[in-house]
Amino acid sequence: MSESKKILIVDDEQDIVETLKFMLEAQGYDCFCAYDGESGLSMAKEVLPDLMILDVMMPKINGYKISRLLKYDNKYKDIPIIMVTARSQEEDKLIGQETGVNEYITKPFELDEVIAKVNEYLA
Amino acid sequence: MTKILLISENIKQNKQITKSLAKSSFAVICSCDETSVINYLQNGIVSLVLIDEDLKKQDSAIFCKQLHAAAIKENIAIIALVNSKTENIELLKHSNAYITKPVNEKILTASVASNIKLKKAVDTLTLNNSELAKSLYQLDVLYNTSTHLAGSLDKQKLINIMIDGLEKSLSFSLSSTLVFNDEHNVELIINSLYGISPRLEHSLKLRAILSYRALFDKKRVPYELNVNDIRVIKNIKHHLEEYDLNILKFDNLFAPINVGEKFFGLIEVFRETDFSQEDTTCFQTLARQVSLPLENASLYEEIKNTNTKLEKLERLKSEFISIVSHELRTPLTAIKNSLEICLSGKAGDVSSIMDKFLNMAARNVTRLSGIINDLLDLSKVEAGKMDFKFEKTSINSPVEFIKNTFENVAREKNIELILDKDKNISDTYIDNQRIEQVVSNLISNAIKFTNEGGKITVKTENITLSDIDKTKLFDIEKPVFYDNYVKVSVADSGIGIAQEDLKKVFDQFQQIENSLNRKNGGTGLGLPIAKQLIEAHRGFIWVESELNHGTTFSFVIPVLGEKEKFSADLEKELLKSKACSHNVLLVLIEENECERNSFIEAVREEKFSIIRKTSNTKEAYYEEDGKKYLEIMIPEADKFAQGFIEKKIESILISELDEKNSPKYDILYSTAIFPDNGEDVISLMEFLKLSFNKNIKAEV
Repeated sequence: MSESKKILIVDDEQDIVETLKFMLEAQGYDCFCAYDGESGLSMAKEVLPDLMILDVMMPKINGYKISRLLKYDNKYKDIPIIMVTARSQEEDKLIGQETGVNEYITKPFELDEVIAKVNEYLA
Repeated sequence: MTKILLISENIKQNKQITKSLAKSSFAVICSCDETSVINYLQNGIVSLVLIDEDLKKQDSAIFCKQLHAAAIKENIAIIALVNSKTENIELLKHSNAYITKPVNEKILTASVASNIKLKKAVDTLTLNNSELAKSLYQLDVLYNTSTHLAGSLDKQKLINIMIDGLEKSLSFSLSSTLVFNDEHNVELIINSLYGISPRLEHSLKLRAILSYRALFDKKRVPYELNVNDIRVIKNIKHHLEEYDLNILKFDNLFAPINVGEKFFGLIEVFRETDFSQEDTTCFQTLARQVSLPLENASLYEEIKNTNTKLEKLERLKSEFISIVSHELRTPLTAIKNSLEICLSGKAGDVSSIMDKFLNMAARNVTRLSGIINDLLDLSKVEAGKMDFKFEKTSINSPVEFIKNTFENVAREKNIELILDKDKNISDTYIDNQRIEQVVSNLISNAIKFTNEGGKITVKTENITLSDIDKTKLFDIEKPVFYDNYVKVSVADSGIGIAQEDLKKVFDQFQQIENSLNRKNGGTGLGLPIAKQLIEAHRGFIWVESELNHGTTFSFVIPVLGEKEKFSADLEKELLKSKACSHNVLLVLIEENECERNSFIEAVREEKFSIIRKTSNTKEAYYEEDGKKYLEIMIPEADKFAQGFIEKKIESILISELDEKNSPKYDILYSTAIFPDNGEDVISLMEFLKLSFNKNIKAEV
């Protein structure tokens, strides 16, 4: 059996990270967590996850910047990024897409929705 | 006793004349000395001059000529005493009358008496004349002052205009004006010809307080006033001398400045010479005149303050809703996720009772997120920040989609939900998602307010403008109508809405029958949002209802041709841009391609949006005189231009757009070279971001 896929969850809201982690681990994924942008970015480079779930508003480095930094680096540009945010303005969505985000989910989200997206990318 | 000056060297004649005139109570002063004669005339000591033709020491004609000017000024007549056959024309020319020698007593007395009488009459006339001139001047000042007063809404300025007017018309020595701005801001404005001793300053303050208290007599004063509370403003003309307490002995006038019960202050003026009746009238008029504009000014101030407060509140409300909603979403997500995990059974077995309550919690979380979304939507449409994606399509599809999603809910309540769609419905420009939102709101409302066994009909049809009953459209400013519309209506057989409540249903937070609404859930925001969304589609929404027989909500959306659509879009853009001041055209002059690209990149990176983009790239990006220009439209010219001046970023030409939204190529800011290092481009972008707090998108 192949090694389970790695997912990095970056969100400063620990409770949200916790619930996402629980559900994703129940699906058989290997989860890594970071609670601010800076550690999220360094962990991404260290762990080389198969997918990232990224919050926008975070201390130190925000989600857009992380996404931009990773997507412009050949080494990381293929990691799919699912952006999760409480901000719902259309323009925010546009920024997310332009910075290379693959999916954009607005809080409050359905866990099933996130899992479905993750499965889609990691199938 | 009236004195007469006699210039003669003939002693015998002098004696005779003195004697004759004494009988008519005239005193005679004899003198031939030039200096003393002039002195007598100028100081008004004598009322008439008699001059003898035969003077030995000097020529009588020349002497008479010398006296002439001084005499006229004081209205004094000169009578020459001449020889019977005199040929001294010069003497006769400079005198008012003559008597031949030897002097006849009767003729002399009569002539002197009549000339003296004339002088008195002329004196009175001159006095009246000067009084008249003074009154005229005061009137003029009054008029000017009142014109000035009427033009100002600034309290300080009004008081100064009044003091200025008083100074011109009364030429007072000192004025002391007590002004109440508010309880903690009381000023004593002292305008004085000379300096003020500290003792005088203190007593002027005390005097003002005493006058102030006296004004209110036994009634309660509006504010308790203390010497230390009064701020003194002094305007001194000459510092050479200083007034002390002695000025308080000068003649003075006093008046309160008030309108009815409203008290603004009081004014007192002092003058070394006494005030006349006219002065008093003038003073009172001016004091009264300033009161009304002062009241206007204070009302204006109040309105301005209230307005600022309201604006701030409105902004705070918007920000509050937006921040709170965002902040609520995060914890809500955590709750929702946790419930979902429990309900999925993945965290352990769930008993049926636990399942019931967990479901209850989940249902209410969903409801809560719905409310938050409503609030956010409303604050967005109200602020004009809602983005629409208009596509030309059939309105049947969103209507049908929503109708299908509600079928189960309707069936549960045993309500018949029917869709009566027009298969030939015209295509219109709609934002599918928003139309779904509106239809969903209308159908869910209909289900809520319809009892079991009821019926709901959703209908789509093509109509023309004449089919719309315009009396049903409430509260629309300057409606714009089109010829053809598509109409969607949701009719229920529910409890209905009372006629007087119909107008209220589209108002924010309006809850008709609170208890009912609570029973049926909802924020009361659905319909106001629907109204805003439909109006953004240039359509109308309205309601018809009969209590206990049912309600019909209908909305129409215009069927637009290509041309109309384009102009509608443009209009929308203009409307949007008007909301943030006017548009400008930015022209970038940069010969260096690298720099040019870095600017374009920078603009792109920060996503500023271009209000107007020339369709022709050649137009947007062209060469002239060997220089390359890039046009970028950005909103809010004023702020922008100002910032550029401040930041000293040269190189950007800004031109205003005219009504047709095409650029007028007047260069408003045109200094030459673009910064040639990358840092400046970055700081420029930082600045653009700060100025607009908006996304600007560049497409070249």
